[in-house]
Amino acid sequence: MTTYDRIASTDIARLIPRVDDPPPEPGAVLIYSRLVDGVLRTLARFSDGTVVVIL
Amino acid sequence: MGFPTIVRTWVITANNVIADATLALQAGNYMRLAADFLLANGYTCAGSSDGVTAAMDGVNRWTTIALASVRGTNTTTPQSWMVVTDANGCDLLLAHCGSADSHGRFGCSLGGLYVAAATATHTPTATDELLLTATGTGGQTIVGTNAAPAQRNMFGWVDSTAKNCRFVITLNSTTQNIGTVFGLEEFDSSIQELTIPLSVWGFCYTGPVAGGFNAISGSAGIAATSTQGSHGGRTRINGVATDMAMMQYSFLGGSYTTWMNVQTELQGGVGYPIWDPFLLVSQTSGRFGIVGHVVDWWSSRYAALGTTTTVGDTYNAKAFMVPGVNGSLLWPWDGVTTPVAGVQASIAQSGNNTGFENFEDPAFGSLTNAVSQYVPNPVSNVTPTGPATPKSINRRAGVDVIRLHDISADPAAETGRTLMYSRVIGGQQALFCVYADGTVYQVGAGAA
Repeated sequence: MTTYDRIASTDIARLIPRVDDPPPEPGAVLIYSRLVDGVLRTLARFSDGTVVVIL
Repeated sequence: MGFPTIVRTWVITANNVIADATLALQAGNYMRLAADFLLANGYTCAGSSDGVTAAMDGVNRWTTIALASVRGTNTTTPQSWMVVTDANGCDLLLAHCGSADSHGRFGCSLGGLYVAAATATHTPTATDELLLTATGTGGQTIVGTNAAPAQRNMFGWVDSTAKNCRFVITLNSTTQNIGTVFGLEEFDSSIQELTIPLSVWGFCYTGPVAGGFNAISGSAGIAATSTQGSHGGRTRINGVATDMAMMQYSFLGGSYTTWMNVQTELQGGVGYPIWDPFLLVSQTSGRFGIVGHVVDWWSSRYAALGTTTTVGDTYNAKAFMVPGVNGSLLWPWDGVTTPVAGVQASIAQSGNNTGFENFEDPAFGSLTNAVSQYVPNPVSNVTPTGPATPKSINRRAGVDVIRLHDISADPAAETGRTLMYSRVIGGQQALFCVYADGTVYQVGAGAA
């Protein structure tokens, strides 16, 4: 069995900005956007709670 | 949520009074107003007839209403007619031909092939003609049959490329559609698989309710099975004449009659729903399916006539206008003019675009109705096939979080795709991208 059964395809993933960081989830990385110091940034939240600005 | 995006740049002629007169003169007036408007906005006259003199010589003989009002009882009697050509080279025929004074005969030739009949004052012919009005030679009423005194009002739209046009006529005393709504327009055919060299359809609707220029009735409205001249339109798909009706996913099950008069809470509760552009669907054998989307044509609030909406209501600072009775249809408007469709004053309506997730994605579309659903099952062993060609994402809803579950190995690179995923390597969770050439980048990582 491939792991592709959860894969979706799209040409653009549109992220609507959030006002807060989502709580971390075990076994998953969460990608989202919000204002950081007044600038809209894209962030990743890892399961251990780490938040990294990726874009 | 906001208002839908108007795709074309429209020139609009508004509030044209078709003065009370004989039905023959009112029919001629309607056709002449339409022709003059088109000729002033990029269309060319291929030929005309004033009932006495006629030729396909590029001469506009409709210099007066009377010269556009000579009726022929059938296609082989002298009559007023005109053929105009759009920027696609498609011809639109307007002929005062029919069994009664209010009648007309409208047709189109996507190849621009209209030629004068052997007797030039008779109705022109084209080998690829798509007759838009009712079948036969008797035509159909284009201005309604209400006798004097019965002023009509005419509205016209043409886009800046001179490839899309549409016309509406209303009865002043009722602020309702009357006669024939018609047009000749490009549509977006990218949703289906056949290559259509020229995506143009001509349409005719009669109104207000029974004929079908409304979106409120699945059995008699514009979503009903196409009936030539009454509701629907026609095109040629690789040479095959194809009859089309309209459809919206939102209409399935008839529940739109509930939603369409509610300021839906899930869209913020601040406006009535504006549904996405209509689909054109074919019911012609060998051409079954969804043909495409109409351009700049939505549905909007439904409410009973005489209560809150009527022809001429506007949305979003007059950016949109209701062209059909009982609301429920929406076309672009000029942002300035107050529409006067009749004695009943128009109302500024509030609206909101509902959007429709995965609206036109052929692989993951959520086309549903009462008895079937088509959505990917997230826990099945079936590997969904992604869209070969990504479609427009203009109306695709956004999300505020994308959740990537950890996977145990790098996925294989895919041609034309960038894959984003997360893995745990050496106890450290990290986010990666793999590009089509196999290059893997680490985008970020959690604590080691």
